Amino acid sequence: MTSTVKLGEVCHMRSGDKGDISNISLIPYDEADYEWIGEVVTAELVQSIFAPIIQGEVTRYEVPGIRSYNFVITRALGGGVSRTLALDIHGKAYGVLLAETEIEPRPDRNSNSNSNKEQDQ
Amino acid sequence: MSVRTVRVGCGAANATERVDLSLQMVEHGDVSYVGFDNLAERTLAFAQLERLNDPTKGYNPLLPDRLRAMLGPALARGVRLVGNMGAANPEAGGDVVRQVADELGVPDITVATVTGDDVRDRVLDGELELTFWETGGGVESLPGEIVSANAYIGAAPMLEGLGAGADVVVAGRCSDLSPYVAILGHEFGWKADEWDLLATAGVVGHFLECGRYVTGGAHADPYFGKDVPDIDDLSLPLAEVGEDGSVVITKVPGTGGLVTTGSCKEQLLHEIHDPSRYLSPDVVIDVTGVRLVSDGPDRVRVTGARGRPRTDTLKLLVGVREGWMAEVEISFAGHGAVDKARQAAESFRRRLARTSAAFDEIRVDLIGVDSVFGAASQRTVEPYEVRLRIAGRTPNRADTEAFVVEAENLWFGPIGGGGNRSTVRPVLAMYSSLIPRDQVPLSVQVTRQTRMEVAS
Repeated sequence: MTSTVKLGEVCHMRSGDKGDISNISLIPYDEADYEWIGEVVTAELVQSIFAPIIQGEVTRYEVPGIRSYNFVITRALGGGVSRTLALDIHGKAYGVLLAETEIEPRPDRNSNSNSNKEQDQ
Repeated sequence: MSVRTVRVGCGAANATERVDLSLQMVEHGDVSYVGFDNLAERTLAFAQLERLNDPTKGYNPLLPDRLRAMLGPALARGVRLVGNMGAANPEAGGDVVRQVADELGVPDITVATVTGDDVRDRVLDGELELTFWETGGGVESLPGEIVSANAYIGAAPMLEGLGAGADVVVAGRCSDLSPYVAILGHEFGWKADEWDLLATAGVVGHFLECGRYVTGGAHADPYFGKDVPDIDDLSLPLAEVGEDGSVVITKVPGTGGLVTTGSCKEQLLHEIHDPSRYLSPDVVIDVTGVRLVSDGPDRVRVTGARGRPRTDTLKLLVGVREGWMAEVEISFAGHGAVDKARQAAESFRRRLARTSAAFDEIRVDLIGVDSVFGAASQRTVEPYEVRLRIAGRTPNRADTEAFVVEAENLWFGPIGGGGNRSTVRPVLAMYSSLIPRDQVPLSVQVTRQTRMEVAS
């Protein structure tokens, strides 16, 4: 049996707004996961996750310098902070919804090190 | 050979930024300049409403309190303050600076005020050819009264103010990055066509203008084990910038929170779209090659920002009165809480449909079940209590009365509905367009106020 992992176990993220457009960064904790995450978390996957609550399209941008991705979703926020009837008017929690996504673990990684720390200090 | 560096702090990252954090930056940040971003997209429209109501208002409402706390310590240390705290009325904001200086007995202060971002009169006169992104049409396509129209202006006038010796530069709707671009341009003489250096200044501004988002705010995630120490004691961020374009992002020593490559990556991509083309009024920034490297505890070194020439247009944001929003909430508890809430929502909808009230949109949320992710929720649980929320938007004030009447009727829905509250508020919607730079003439007014104590 294969057990899935939540995307939030291998990446962190933040979402924000400009007008009716939401963007969600997707930042692998381990920079070595950049290519693998790129194969798994496509614009199509993100579109399918958010489809019930957005009207627009998802575009994925690569940010190789920090080995991260930026997802931009149009018509994503019910008209934007000033018009939306949603409680989370900015879509601050959109990144959390992405983090909930279950994905297959990285195939070539057999160690189950639960290293959630940024390769930092 | 050592490179000349300057420390620049963030003094505010939103309209209601904590005053104690502004003061902390001046007293403990060891900075030479503090930048302020007091404006979000809607803030300026609200400020313009205040100004229309009282021509001496319209600046950031916290400006007097903030200055009373920090102006004395800033002037004593030679810390210069630059930002958009003038909101819809930079001139009146400048008056506030001089008044507070007078109250404090400051002997000498130079204040620059920047005007020209407010183009409401010309938008109302139909002088400008505009195409709004949201409607595809011009001014006539906006669905209500135009309250405000402001261009996101760049660093140039603030740079002039600093060059004229201003201790405090009060602008209105400049871009969030531009106070920092002005500060670094003034300090190092970076030219308006040194695109990589301007992009570096813009990236510094981008790291600082969201304040605590880079020092550990909105970062802690207990579920996934991402911790932030002393989250109750986050400072605003600051940058050490070298004349050669070297940058380190850090925070006020001895405070909580953290500055890591992780928190900086989140901020680098915060609210940007195409990372190779981040548009600002000063420079088009490419962050795709930016590298972030740890430079010791709570210090992150930033390299690799690239710039291209700025565009010949500015972003214009227009605030429009667009009807009303009504909202009701009521709680249900115990077994079947969700069923009771759904029954209540259904009866509310049916009763409202029997009235003549016309709503553009109605939304039903079960708080605790689906109010955040809606139909995209990935998991549902049966809660022991739930709060029902119904919200609707209508062009007509009168139609919200029917909504409130039916909200009251929720007392007589399913058993145990409690905490019934309804609110009605105006909708101030924002519409965006581009505007040619040459349609936005700017000016800077610099005044020096001296105070002499004279024996009687």
